[in-house]
Amino acid sequence: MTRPHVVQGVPVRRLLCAVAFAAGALGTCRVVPAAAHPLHTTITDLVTDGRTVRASIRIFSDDFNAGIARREPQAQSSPAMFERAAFAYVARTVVLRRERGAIVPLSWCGLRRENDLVVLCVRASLPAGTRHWSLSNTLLHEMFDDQVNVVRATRGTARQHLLFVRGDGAKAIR
Amino acid sequence: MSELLTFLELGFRHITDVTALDHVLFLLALAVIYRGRDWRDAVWVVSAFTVGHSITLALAVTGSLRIGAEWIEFLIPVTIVATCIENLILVRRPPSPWRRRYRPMLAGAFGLVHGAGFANYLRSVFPGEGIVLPLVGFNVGVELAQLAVLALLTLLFAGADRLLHLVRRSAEAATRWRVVTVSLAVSVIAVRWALLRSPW
Repeated sequence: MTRPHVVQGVPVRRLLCAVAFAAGALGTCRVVPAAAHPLHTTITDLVTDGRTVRASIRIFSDDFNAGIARREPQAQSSPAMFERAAFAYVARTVVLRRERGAIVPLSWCGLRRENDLVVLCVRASLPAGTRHWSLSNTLLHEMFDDQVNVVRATRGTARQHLLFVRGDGAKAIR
Repeated sequence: MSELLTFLELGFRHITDVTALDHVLFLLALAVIYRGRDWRDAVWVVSAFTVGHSITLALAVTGSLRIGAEWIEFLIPVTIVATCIENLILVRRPPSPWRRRYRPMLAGAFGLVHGAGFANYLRSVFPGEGIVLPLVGFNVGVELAQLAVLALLTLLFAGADRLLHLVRRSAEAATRWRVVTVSLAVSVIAVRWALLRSPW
């Protein structure tokens, strides 16, 4: 008596399972990314005395370079062009607002490189009488779905932490 | 408090992110041998993994330990393959005290490797001073995310076992079939990663 799932000594069901598994594994391999588990994060230290604000933004060089290159492909051709592009990008993505939504203009105070990081510096003068203000930080949100931007706001001894993910709007700085 | 919660959320997001497959696949390989009633063993193993990667993460972020990133990125899929091989080889697991402890120890040892993986990133972004709270928050977030993933996997495994039980004679056979299938699939992906990330 022959077993129905065995054809001339070949275990058909097992063979089909093996073929299906191999096809599934190869398909999965094509879909699954090979890159290492990335951490798309920036850390911004924002220090204010009530009249001025100074922000120091720590950002991974490769991520930042990719973000700049996407907007301005020629920016890498000279350091001056890169700084201009970097400031334009930061001014567009890190936005300080006063009450009623008025934007506080930022000014550039340079960048420096630390190992695999770029540390960007911007500052702003808060108009007299500014009591409430807010911040939005969409750095690299257009590049990475999992981009998380952490902001540490310090005023005297008070410290506040904010976290910005894709889709977040402005958050109040107390 | 806001600092702790911020970095807790960062750690949680780091694990539950869809691109974080190396971490999730390792959890999958660790958890696949357990059934719903073994949830305590599964929690022990996952927590041991957290302890392991917290140790290397803390050592690396504080600068006490420096490991080449290319080696770590290669070793991470190797630990996944090793776990899958262990799943495939060990059919019967005697409930002796040593056997019950050995898997958390294995997970803890492999956790040392995984912790070094993102330590290279975190060392760059964490500032030199006041590192303890961010690190604690990040690790607690990682642990909570892993437990959430584990809970989800337990539900999926229970569902898979019910389906497999329809075509397999016994519950044990259904579970074994699940362990073999998942371990083989995960190991194929991890072998590919290891080859692509090979430092040679």
